[in-house]
Amino acid sequence: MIHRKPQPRAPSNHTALVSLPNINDIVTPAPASSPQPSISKRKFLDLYSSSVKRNRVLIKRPQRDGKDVTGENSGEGGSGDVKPSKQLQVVVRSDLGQGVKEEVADGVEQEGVGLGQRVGDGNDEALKSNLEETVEDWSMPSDTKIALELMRSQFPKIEKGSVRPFVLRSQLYSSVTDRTLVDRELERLKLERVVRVFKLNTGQDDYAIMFMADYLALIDLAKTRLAKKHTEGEMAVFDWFVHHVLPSHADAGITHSKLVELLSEGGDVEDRHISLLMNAGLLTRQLVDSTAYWLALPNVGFLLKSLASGRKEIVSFLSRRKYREILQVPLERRRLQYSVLGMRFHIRDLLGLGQIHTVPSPSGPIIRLSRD
Amino acid sequence: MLRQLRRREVGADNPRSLSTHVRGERVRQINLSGHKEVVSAHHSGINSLQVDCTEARYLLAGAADGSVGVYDTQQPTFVDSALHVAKHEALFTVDKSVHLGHIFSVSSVQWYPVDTGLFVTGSYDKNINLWDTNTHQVELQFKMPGKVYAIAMSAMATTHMLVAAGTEDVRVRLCDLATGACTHTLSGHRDGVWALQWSASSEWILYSGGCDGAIRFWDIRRAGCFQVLDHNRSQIEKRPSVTNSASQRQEMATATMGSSSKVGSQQREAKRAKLSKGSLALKNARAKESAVQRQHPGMMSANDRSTAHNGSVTALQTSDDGLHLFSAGTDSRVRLWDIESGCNTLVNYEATRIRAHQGTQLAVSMDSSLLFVASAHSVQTYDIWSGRMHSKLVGHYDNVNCCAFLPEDQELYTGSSDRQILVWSPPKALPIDDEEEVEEEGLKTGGTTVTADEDAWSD
Repeated sequence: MIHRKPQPRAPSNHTALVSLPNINDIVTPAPASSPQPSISKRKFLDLYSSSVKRNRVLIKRPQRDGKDVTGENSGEGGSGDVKPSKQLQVVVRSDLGQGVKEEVADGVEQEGVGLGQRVGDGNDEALKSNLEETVEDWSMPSDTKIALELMRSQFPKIEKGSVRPFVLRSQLYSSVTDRTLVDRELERLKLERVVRVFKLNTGQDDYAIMFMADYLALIDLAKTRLAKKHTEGEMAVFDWFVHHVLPSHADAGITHSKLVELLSEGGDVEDRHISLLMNAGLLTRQLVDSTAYWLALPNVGFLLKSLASGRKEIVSFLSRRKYREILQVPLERRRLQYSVLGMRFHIRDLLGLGQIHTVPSPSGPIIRLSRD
Repeated sequence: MLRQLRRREVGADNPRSLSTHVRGERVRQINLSGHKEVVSAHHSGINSLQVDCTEARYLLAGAADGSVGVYDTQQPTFVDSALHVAKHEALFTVDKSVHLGHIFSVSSVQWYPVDTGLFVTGSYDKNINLWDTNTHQVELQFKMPGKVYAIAMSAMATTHMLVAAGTEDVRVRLCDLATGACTHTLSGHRDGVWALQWSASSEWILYSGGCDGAIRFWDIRRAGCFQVLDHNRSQIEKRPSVTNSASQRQEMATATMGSSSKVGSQQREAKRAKLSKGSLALKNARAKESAVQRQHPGMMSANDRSTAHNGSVTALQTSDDGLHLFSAGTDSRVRLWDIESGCNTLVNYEATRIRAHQGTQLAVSMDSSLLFVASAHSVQTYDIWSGRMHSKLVGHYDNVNCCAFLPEDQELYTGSSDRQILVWSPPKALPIDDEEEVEEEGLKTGGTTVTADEDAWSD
């Protein structure tokens, strides 16, 4: 039994957002040459040399805070290169640059990982555990997840800078056949904090689904935009929002009291903090209930207008045709005059809403307007 | 089918399983009935239908011109032999010409659960009438503060005969038929109540759905509602796991506590913040907190603003076993709730179009296999657990308002704004025409007339 001094464990925290691996992370490893490691070079070399000398036996040691620490370095770069310590990687991957060693522990609710608790120092797991981890950590993503990834990658490019790809719920319904399954898998993804669901204020029952990383990037943009005019104390509310509200509250709406309760875990909350969040576009008052808010996407009004006018354009175009139908291929080639979101986006959305449906035909699928 | 009969004969299969199987098959083949028709005696749209639960024979229909009609669904008034259609006309109708009859639209009707001697109707003229079926007169009238949208009586009540009334007013009232007075007032909704349903498993529990989108569960023996359904709280499996439900209940409890004592929570923040606060301030904070929290426990849920639907709730229906609740809302969604845990089971009933400006009715088939939802001009049937649309019953010319399912014959009655009551039933084999032709022949020849039983060919 080889005893090693365990790495200093970061204080565990409930912020799990940043280091959740999604499929992109597993595929593209974090670059090894990233700046600001929070351990000194000497210590780093120490770790490296000691890990090389170690036996390749899986050492299971109880975690101080009793949490499952699963190997995150499995995903990063498979070869036996110099692998920076887990803490290093986590630091590297933290978007908000917060020196977040605490992400390590509770970061990962890996699917199907039944591994025991292990001390993740250096590349201790080495190749054997690498393999184990890659096999066990990666479980088949659900249909909904694949559809979400696919549609996110196909989100149309818009010149306006601060737009992040999102997927509408109706588009999901048109991609996956079983709606109940979609609802349930989406709920699971919401609980795992992989995606975030927002209610759009188009007047109809529209929901937008956005990946957590994209949403955090949006919050960052909003923060930098407002940073010039407000003091440090007021800007702190964004960090409280990300670290306390987002992890514990997965719904699209939130009541005032709950919001205040969650934000005050970060510090003193006053009305001006909440007004700042509203100015940034992250919160909107609910019309029905004056004491509750919707969590919202900032700067999305332009897209919503596009969405509404694009829908109307396609429906009116189809209703003017002789038999209210058109082959799908020529329809996709047409350009939309009033929408920047692209024909494919709108077709998927309308299919999910049920306003149009596809009919197979010998010359290809036909898009037909549904009659009431 | 023959194999199943054989197995039942031999004793290999449970007789009940065979009958459930056959009934289930018949339910799935429901379509516009070719052999039965109800001749509607109303001159305006039908708002509410109900078949009595004692005999499952008499159909009660309430219409928008204030008339209420009773139809016999088993005995036709005349048979159209050419088309082989049995026509059922109204046994009687009562309308505004009767003393104390309804002058405005009847929104909801129900038979007295014990026998068909009485029935209760609620109308937009703010009255609830108790009618005697035999004398066609109003026995008792309750005056409500607003238009009556929904009434309900518990089918399994043995100790009370309360009529629950949902009106424009935000409070649900319970009127007692025995004394003629209103006994309970249930407060908690923030807008009118459109849908009411008593529990199928307990005579004390009432479910109500309102225009504010909330569904509340009331136990009439206690004050206040004990549960408010929230569509964000969901369970992914059919039954919730034990740990989840316990933690969710705690969360709910703290949430309602938190929302009701808004002042209290801010004080708590103040406590938590800095140690520089003097002990006097802390004491004040604690005193204020306790003052706020000394609300009646029954009224705590009044501040719970969770909604079950994003629009108004238009219909509620419990499943036969009393474990699940269906709710339809104007956000065009039908949701299935687990009653025990109060969670949304996330079953998605696709493509419903509920554009109601009043309450409608949902119907469930007897073994909880199919759900009938009135959407726009048609009735859509769904498989309950998967949410897939099974079939679409198109026959009405206007919005379908109500549906009632008869478990014995697996028939569905629907009423709509086009003044028709349509019957939907599984296909029936056509009768052979031999008897009629044989009779005609006999008359023409003047020879021996042959009765229906005898063979018509010579030996």
